Amino acid sequence: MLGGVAITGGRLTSFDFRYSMGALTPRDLLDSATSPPGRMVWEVARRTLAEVPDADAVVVSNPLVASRGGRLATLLRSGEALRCPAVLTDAETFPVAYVLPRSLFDQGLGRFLCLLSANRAATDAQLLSQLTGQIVPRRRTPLASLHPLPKITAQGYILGDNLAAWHAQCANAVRLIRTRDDWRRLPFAAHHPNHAGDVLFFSLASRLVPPGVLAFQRQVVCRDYLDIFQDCGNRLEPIVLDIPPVSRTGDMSDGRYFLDSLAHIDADVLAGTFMVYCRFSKSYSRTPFNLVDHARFSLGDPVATLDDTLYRRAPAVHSRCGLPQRPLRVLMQMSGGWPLKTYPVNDRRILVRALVRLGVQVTVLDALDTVADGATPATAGTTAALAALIRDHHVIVSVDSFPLHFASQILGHPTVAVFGPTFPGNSDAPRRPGYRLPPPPRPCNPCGGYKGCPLDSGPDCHNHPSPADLVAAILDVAAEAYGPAAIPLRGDAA
Amino acid sequence: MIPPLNLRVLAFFDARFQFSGPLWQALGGGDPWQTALAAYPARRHHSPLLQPGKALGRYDLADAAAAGRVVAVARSAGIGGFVLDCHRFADGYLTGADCLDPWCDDDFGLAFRWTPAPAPLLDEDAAADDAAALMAAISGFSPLVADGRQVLVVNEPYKLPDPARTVALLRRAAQAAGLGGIYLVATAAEARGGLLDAGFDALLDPSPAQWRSCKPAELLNGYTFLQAEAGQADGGMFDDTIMNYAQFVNSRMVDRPTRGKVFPRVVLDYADWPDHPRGGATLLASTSSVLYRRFLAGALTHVAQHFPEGERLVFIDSWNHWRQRSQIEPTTQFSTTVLDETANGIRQGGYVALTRVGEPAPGRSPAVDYDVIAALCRQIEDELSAPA
Repeated sequence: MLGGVAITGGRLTSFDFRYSMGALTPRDLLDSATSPPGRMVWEVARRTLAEVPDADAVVVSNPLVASRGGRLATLLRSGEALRCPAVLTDAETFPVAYVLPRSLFDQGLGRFLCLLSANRAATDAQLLSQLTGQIVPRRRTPLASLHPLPKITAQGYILGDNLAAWHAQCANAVRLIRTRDDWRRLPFAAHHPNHAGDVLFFSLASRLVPPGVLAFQRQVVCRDYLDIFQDCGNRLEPIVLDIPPVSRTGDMSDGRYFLDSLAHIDADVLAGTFMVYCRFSKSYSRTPFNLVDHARFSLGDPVATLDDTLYRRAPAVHSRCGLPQRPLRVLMQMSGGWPLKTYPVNDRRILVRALVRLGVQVTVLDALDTVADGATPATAGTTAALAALIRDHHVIVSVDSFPLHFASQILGHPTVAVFGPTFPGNSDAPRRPGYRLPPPPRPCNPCGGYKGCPLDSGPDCHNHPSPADLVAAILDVAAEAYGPAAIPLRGDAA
Repeated sequence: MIPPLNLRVLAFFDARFQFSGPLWQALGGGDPWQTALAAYPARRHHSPLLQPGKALGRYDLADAAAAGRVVAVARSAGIGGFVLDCHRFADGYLTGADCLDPWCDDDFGLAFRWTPAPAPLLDEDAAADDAAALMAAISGFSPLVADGRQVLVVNEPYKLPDPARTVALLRRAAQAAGLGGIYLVATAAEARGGLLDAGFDALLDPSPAQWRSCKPAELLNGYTFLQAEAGQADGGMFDDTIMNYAQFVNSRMVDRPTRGKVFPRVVLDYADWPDHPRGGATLLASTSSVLYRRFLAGALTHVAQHFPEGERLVFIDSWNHWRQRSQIEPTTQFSTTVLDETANGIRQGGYVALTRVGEPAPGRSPAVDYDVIAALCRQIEDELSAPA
């Protein structure tokens, strides 16, 4: 719950906004995990102004805490006369809400709110002061101290090192504005350097955001993923980070990586760019939305209705294998970014053997041991090599990993998506001919499991579709994409 | 808030919470809330019953405004109707539907659940009279329809000596009562057993007590077992069946398509110990409102993908069965958390179902012989598991 209040000549009109779980209405915000809290402040302010176009100012609650508009209005009415702009705090120094003048938005400075720390009232007041050219007071409210905050808030924000990351982006922005007269024209960079799939989602998002609302011009990306950035047609200018991507083991948090990585970015770049933390401020699997939509929201697109979401967009790409229909050639990627995503070995063996017996030529990426089952192993070190491999096969079958997203969303190749421990809606592709998603049979995803199943503690996820389901889906999609003659005749198994 | 794609979420509803009227009188008067909530845990693992929250309180459904508030809260969560029990009384049935009906319309309707009388009690004529009385009791209200017909859930259909005869009897009675037709749903877990052949239109997952769909949780080790047997610890866990909620949810959703046309019954919690004070209760342990939300969303996605457009129903058990601890109404202890998760689950399920529009239903491609593929995979599995 996020509160917004419009102030019109001393009259307060309050609104409640929800982090959406599926509906998208003027009061439901796409719950973007890749957006820092300040991005939500901007969005709520924008929507509150849309509700009350003649408002003089808007007040937006801190996204980290649950606060209804009515509560905000009560806080505003209590105590001394309200000043605008201002930062309202709890009994100590934690920011509870921001009082923002209308002029901030009229001057097109709304995107700078993405830089708010949302946890240091003094720094946020300095940022607003630099933006508005006015002294911004911190006004204490009767609200009891918010400390200690939980590690993950009820709104879903992951605190820990993220608090320092949000604070750093705010403090850096204050310094930049102080030192540059041309700060209004400086570019915004989304700091979202990894991993492979995430870089792809941001690249796709950068192409889908309408030019008029794209608030960013640059993106920080690890050199390891620069080819993905380029081959996926990212519209932003890359800022290349020459350090390894953050480990997925959780040894280092996204927030800490952001802070450390700033030291590895060219000083001249930093002196001319507003750096916005766009790694995960929340767990992305809280909501059913696609990560491409999460990224679009981060980049400034409100994604305000269901028709705006990825799933309502007609697929723009279309790729088919140029080889003859028979023999059918299938490419597989059965391991993902973390161990639990990997399709269980025994099921993979059944799948490969079944396809081989049906006369299908199977190539498996990054799995040498599949030779014994009749498959051909392969590797693809670059996106160009991967694209060539994909185009050399009629169908690609992949777990929730980069090859799946690349084949289905960038190339538009016939694809069978395999989801187990992760929630398909977060990262699958819009429906189109030549795409199949055999549904995971259980509702336990997303489970958050990394190395093992949280239910039985075993190493495998039992929520992957069965080998028989996958064989059926592969033949089904092949028949759809290449015609019935492409698939082995009935009875070939015998 | 109405879910898209003709998805309808119904909740089982106890209409006995009223302080006047025919149903109240028939049940002997008194305070129905006291009756429902006056139960105290006798075992360590019996969670206490929850108390109605201030949002709705201990309402009196005979009060039109109170009934209207209940319907309004349910509607705002995305629920599309209630399922009311038919209570046998004298020569007829009472449902309490008259209290709710003024607040119903096309978007929020009433369905009914009927538990057949024990077979030896009714001869042919009496059964026909009983069916006619049933139809009289459920007609005249804003119906919740599936495939254009009013929905009637038949509880415990396995007790029917001749399900086909009962179905025919009910259909004739519905015609005679002017209902036009009736959509009969039998409480049964899978299409095997002949209930669909007997003429039922669909099935509905049984309640946790009727169908223990997963193994009981192993909450006791051998040490505790011996200790309890020796009388030095609470032995109640041996008498009751306790299922882990996550296992229960998975068991209810796994391989659903293979079970046929079975509507999901989504359960937040279940503990019928107040009605089994001497043991034999069924309880869900480690329940989670987040998992409940996913259960509900998954159920909606399932029916959107597998059932015809006019027959996409999901049942929540329950709206206000306080005595079984399964209610999703606001409570004093948890406020509107569960109701909010219900609304979230409905939104999430509706959204996911929308994203899958146009996707062919799995297993229905004419180009693929699924039986051959399944047999081939089974054969390979056997080969791989055989000793070298």
